[in-house]
Amino acid sequence: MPRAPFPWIFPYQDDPAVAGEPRLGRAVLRPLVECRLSAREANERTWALVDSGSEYTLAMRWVAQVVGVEPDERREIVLGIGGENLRVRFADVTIHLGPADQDEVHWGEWQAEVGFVERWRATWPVLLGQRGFFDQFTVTLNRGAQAFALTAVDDFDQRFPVPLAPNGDESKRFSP
Amino acid sequence: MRAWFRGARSKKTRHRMNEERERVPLGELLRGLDGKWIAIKDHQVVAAAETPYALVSSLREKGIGGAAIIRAPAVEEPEMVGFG
Repeated sequence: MPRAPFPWIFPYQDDPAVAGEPRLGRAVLRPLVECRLSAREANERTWALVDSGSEYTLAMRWVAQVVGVEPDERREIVLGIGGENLRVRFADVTIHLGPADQDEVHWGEWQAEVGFVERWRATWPVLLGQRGFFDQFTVTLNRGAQAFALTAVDDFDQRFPVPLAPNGDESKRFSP
Repeated sequence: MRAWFRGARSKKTRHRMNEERERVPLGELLRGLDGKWIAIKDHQVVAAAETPYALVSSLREKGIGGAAIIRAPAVEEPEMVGFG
């Protein structure tokens, strides 16, 4: 089935930690999106935080067990999360994501290396980072609209046709 | 892209987004379920459990599909920055 046409627009969600109460007079809003991870088996959907500040796409350890994948001990790094140094082991899974008003057959899906985190207690089971999410789309966030939009990964170059490297050095241009 | 942006600012699209925000906010949906794992479908809580494994089992036993899982923060948990 064809993927739903872009743009995919997602409203920000209220942060559950503050239960909808304003902080310093303003709402606490998060760029959250429903997604699904799958490997040998499919997981239920989970809420995921869009986090441009994370190099990696990460998920809680229980998600790996539910989808039937064993994170590889040979692909392990340590990340500082919440003031702690936590072990993160990576595995290859499929990420499914698309507009909330579209049937999942019209969602996008792609292979990604996801890091599974031990002893991680967060509100959202999945965090979508630079690798595995931001390398798949152009992500536009707008606080004023209280929403973010996903468009084609090459949309950035079309919107901002300015070479980032001198002398047209294409080797510095990232492509997924 | 610019056409989309203009459309996003149009009254009709803004009204649709306002309709989105008229749903029960996520924080209010999770109120009173502190520390529990929650499944949300069509802006309603459809299941809750003490662990994610129990929640997934419950969803599968009941044949509930299309629900999204999240954990309700405990009372003492602060607002997180990034990944927490």
